[in-house]
Amino acid sequence: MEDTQIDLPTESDLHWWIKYLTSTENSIFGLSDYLPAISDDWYQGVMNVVGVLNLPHYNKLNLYEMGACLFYKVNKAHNQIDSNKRSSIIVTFLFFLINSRLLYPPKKVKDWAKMIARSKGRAREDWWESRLAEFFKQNTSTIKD
Amino acid sequence: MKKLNIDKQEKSKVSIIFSKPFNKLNKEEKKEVLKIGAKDFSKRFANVIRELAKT
Repeated sequence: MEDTQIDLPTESDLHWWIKYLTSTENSIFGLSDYLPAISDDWYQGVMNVVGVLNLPHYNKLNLYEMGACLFYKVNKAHNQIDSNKRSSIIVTFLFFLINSRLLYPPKKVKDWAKMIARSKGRAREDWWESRLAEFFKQNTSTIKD
Repeated sequence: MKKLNIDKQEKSKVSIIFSKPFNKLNKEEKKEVLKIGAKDFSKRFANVIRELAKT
């Protein structure tokens, strides 16, 4: 069904997303200098996580649960992705954007990134993802105008 | 409801491109979604990304 379709970002989406985040037009906001070091390895690391979420095991997740899995897994993929906290925020915002949702508020999203990064290994992954999904449910809005 | 932090000209495009599922958009429309989103993200999340970069 169209209205329950969940889109995951493709590598092309990710490239365009980073291109626009680092565009001259947006340079006035001062974000470019603080983004993670974007390299082929970074793209590959993120796409590896997305690949996992494309597996049948994740088919039954709703939008918020899927967003939570993405956020958590990017945050914890230290062996593949640098600057995990920032990467998890950037990629999860993109995920909700392409599903016509706006993620907010930035400070609380940052707090989640820090809390998960500080948590020990992948202990209680399901618990974190469940709580995070609830947060996303409460803190995303449909994009209309 | 939280609104996109974008200018008037971009708002006119939003109702059209966000009314369809992303995977049903053509390439140029997809790029428009990403461009508008990037502007909103840059405005609203620049501070927290900067803070995290320093930790």
